[in-house]
Amino acid sequence: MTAYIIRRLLTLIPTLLGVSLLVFSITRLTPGDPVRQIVGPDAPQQRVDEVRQQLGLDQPILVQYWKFLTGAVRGDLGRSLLTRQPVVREIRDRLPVTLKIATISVIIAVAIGIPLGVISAARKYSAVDTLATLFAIGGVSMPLFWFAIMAILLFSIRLQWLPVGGLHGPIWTLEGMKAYVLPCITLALTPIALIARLTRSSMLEVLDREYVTVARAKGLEERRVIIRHALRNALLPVVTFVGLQYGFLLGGAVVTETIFALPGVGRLAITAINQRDYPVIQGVVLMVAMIFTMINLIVDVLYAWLDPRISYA
Amino acid sequence: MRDQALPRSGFDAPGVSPLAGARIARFVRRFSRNRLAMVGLVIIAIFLIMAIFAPWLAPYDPIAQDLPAQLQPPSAAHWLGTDDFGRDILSRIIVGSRVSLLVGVLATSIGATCGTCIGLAAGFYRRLDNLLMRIMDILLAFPSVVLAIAVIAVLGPSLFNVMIAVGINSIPTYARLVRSTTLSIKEKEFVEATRALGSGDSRILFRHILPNCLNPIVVYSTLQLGTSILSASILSFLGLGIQPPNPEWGQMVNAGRGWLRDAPHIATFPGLAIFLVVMGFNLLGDGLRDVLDPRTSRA
Repeated sequence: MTAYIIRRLLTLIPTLLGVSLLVFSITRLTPGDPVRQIVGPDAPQQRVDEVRQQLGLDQPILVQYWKFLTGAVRGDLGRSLLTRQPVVREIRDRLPVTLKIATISVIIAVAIGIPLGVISAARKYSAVDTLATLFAIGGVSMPLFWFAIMAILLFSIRLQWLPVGGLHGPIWTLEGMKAYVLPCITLALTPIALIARLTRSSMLEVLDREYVTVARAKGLEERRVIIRHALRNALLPVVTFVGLQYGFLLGGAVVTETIFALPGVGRLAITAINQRDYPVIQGVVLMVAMIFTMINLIVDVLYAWLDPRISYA
Repeated sequence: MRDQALPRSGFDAPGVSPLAGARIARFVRRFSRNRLAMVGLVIIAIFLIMAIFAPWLAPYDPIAQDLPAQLQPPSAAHWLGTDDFGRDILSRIIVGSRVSLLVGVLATSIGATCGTCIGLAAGFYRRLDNLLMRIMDILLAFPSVVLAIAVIAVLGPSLFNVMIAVGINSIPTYARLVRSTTLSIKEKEFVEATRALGSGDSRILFRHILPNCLNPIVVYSTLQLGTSILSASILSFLGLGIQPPNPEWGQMVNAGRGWLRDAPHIATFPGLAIFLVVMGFNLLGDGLRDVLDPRTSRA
């Protein structure tokens, strides 16, 4: 197992190098002179040259990449062009909000998606199953930003139960908690549908296995057969999927944070794009890709650990 | 000697042989039995007709402003109401369907073409496999929205760049899909026989291996069409896609956000259009998968 983890960690190196190269290219591939975009079109040539030198953009491209890479490893991603704050600090200040939204959304998705999938499979072709299938199709087809707006319209404007947006104190207070309800439900909607669908198909596959038939033949109660025998094995692919969804939710947070005016990393990225704040864009993309890659690694290792049939060779 | 592609499961090009005709008939019979897939087909057909005949179907000019008629709720004159500039929302949705479907089709085509070529090369040439698949891993290291944002950051916000950004997102999945099929097909005896008859690599790849990859590509593309439309609408909603005053559904929802209290219909109807068209493609894709690619269909 240790050898497997080490081997898996080693395969990460080329991927992360590629990710860093791609992120580094963001400013270099942008049409026009990035320095001109920073200092403005009317700035004198002397000022342009000064800024170019300050940013190290007058050096050969390989030297620039090496500096970017070593800086990133040390946690130095440059400064925001807008606020002049270190990019790492900008991200660090906003990351907790994004992580909270993504984590709560995953918990909601698992808490609703798995039972829905299990009930759907246990009562195949029943009204519950049809409803769950329709919900799953609707969930994966739903534009999240529209769902969020409709939720604001109903719960915030018409019923006035929940705030329209923004944070209202720490999450452990009632008002603070209320601010997270709509963003998290919005973000959890598609994963609920996908997890329910996957759990259903995985359960149906397992319920056909011989050991389940044997368990039933032994006279075990159906609930016990489903929970103790079928669900434990059916959950293996779901575990992988849930892990991957967590990574995707970090991306999805861009939309919910924008709509609900939450000060997270996603909103930071959109503001940075609109202001052409390239160091921040680079920092956010690099950070999210790193987290996403690490989650994939953890999911792979967890899956191998959970399923003894998987060979580590 | 003119060699022929070997039969594949599902359907072949129309009018090739009586065998192919029988396959098409069987495909149509099986597909038409799937009620949800037929619902999807009807939804797509309606939106397609709407997009093709948009200039004739739209009751008003979608861009022309009529300030005295601003923020009107749905009425006989304006079936879906008007926006803050007095523009008819139904007309904007009808004309906007062209943009959404075009983005969906072109973005999916970009992803399918690039991904298929990469998958074919990776599966066929062992030396390229590792390199190409590692590059695909790098693309997969980014959540789709984040990758799209990075692409838009480089290229700038525009409709064409949205298509590229959304298309790039789907390249790795196509590449993996085609690579796995190529790996299994290239070991088959008929490929060896074709090579023995003097066929070159490109002929083997495009005449024999590619036709066998088509079923999963068709199925995935149908599902991807919905995803592409959804992703493009997200980018437009975030202000990174088509710029006003041209109508696009995502951008229309965004414009309606500011009027939720007084005129909720501005954001409601364009969002409903996105939901319906994406659901149509998902239902159609699920139905096609059940018929063409039953091995991967859900239980």
